[in-house]
Amino acid sequence: MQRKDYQDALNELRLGSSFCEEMEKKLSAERAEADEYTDEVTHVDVISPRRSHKGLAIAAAAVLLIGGAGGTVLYRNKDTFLSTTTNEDSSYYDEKSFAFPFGTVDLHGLVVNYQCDNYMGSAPVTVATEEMGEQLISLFSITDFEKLDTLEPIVKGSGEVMDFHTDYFFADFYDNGIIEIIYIQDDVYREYYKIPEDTFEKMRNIIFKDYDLGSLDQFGIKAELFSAQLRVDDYDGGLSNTEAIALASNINNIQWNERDTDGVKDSSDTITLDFESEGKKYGIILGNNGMASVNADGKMSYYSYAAEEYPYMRRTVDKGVDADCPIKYDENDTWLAVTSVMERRGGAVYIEQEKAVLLDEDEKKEIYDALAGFEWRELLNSAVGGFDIYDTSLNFDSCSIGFWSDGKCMVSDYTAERTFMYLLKKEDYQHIRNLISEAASNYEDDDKVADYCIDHILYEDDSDQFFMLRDNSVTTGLANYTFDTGEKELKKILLDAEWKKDISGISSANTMYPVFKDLRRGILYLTTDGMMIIPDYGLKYRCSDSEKLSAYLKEMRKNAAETENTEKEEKTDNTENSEE
Amino acid sequence: MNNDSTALYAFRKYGNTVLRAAFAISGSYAEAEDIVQDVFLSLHTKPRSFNDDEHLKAWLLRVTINKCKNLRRSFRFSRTCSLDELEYSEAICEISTEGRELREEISALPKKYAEVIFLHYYEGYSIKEIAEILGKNENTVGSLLRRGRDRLRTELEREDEICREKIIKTL
Repeated sequence: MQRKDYQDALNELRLGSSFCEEMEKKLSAERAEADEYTDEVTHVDVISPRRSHKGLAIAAAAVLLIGGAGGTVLYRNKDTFLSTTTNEDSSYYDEKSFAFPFGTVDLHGLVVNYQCDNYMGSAPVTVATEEMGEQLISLFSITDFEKLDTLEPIVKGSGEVMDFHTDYFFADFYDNGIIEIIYIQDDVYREYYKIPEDTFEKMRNIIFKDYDLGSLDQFGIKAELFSAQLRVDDYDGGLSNTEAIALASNINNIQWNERDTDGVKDSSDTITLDFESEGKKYGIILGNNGMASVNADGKMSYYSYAAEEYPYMRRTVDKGVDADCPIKYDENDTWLAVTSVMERRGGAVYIEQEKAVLLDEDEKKEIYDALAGFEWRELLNSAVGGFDIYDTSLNFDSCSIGFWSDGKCMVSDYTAERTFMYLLKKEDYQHIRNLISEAASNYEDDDKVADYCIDHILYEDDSDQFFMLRDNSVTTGLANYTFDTGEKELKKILLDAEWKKDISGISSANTMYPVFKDLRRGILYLTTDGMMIIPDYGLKYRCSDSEKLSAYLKEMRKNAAETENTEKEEKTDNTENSEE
Repeated sequence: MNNDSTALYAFRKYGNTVLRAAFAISGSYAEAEDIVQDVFLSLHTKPRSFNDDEHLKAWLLRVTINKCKNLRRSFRFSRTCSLDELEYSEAICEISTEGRELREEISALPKKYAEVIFLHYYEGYSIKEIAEILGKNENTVGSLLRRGRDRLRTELEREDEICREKIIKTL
């Protein structure tokens, strides 16, 4: 796909004329009129997922606007917003708001969003009622909000999240009890808190109780799936909360057609659920051929459904199958390990920082022994859950493995097109992370790591060819410049330079040159002031003497410009020829 | 910039930009329209000053992204909407099959990729600028950009049109 295609597809979108007319009227009106919606928001409302929710979305926005108008300025500036609240109407707050350690929030009318397993919207955005507000205040009043000084990447693998925002911060509540608060002022400030996991569940049950999350309402059965037994492949065990919520939502929303005979026996893959409710036993078998059977306390019934729905449900409960450790030990292989940590930089400013290490023989052996001893389960699909990219990786000469904090890991073979997803136990992930963190903590040979990355990306072969991504200008597409010669010279300059880790920003005054040989091995982003950024590993280096590199990069830029001009001329010639 | 009516000026100049950003991230035209309304009404109610148009635009995109964050992101929902709404909406000036297919792929992109893809490939922001707008590490933005691009390409290259039609019909 070219950038132009992407732009064209979006450029076809325009605001409707009646919408524009209405907006212009509103925006031309006196400001006081914009508050006219505020009185409407004194009751419970749910923003429905269709177009009809427009009025309510305005109402939801108005709830936030009330805060500004009613004197709810929590934080006035960078110096005070982390610790003090300004409250001009204390009685209003006493009744409706709760003073979290990160700020006071009006809970009645709070607009809360809920996500389960990243995509599955099992409940619409909800505006908290007065009753919910009171229940939440009662709940939070007995909750211990433990402020975290350091943060392991535990947030990232979470399955459920509820979030809301005020005019001053965003609050994300994760199902593992972590709360991330992000203040947007002149800079981005983060604070992290921990609450008991069951507080999250209670909070969810208060706000989203009307949606019976995790409850099956299909086949004449009404029952919670939280304690259901699941059987897929060789797995036989319980469902997690996330799986129960997502699966119930899936089953409830599919169209089922009753049939006379059992078709599920012809399926090559099935999901089996066994559960009890009000003293009755139920069993559901879903087949990948679009057939299902339901056993309701001994009474059998059969259904068909769109088989295309099966992979979504299967992905929800993908427990994987037993597999061998995908990594083979080779003492000649170089192992680059990278792990990221949230480092506190004073106040509430956290910076995600990558630490890299080239492992020595003992470390390699120790990590390999750990990997070989893990219980590996290969996932059936390549879908990656979680809320962020992996935070720890091991990179070998021929492949890499990325680890997520929820136990998922991805093995990418540089020579193959596809990647393989596996599932490890969370404690195994933590063990690997600890080993790598320990090895990386005192490692300071930045130049050696930089040289490894250069050597890996501009890998040795007979060719002297390399490529460079075109610049960021809107007019150019996702295309490359091709340089038939010069790769070996560039590589030599880069290897000769002395590289030191650099966490400073990249000056926009410098041109950036993204060079590569094979995109699967990554890209080196080089700048004329001596920076080298390697996004694949999250690493940034600066060389002390950038003169030679700078001269070479300028020469490259000149060549690139000439290449572009030649291409333009060829294009013009072709157009003229076709017109003739 | 007209300081007396910043919101109106901003709406006229960047209304469609905000709509496209919101669509690219939320995957739904209806939600995108709501976000447009929300963003400019917020600015109208609480005016603020900007150094120049670029500053204004960056602020609008930042607020748009934040508002998208609070919308649900359902795979099923986004696909349904892309057909229900876009095909018959007056929002589209020129309907091209290619454009429609691409918009479906764009709307199905996970939000974390959709944000950076839009800011980079549509708005032309650099990785550093995107990192500033999103409050993310530059390296993270670089990785998201690459993975998002790969994801979009994979989706586009997938030759399962028949299968997709079947899915859409069952929704």
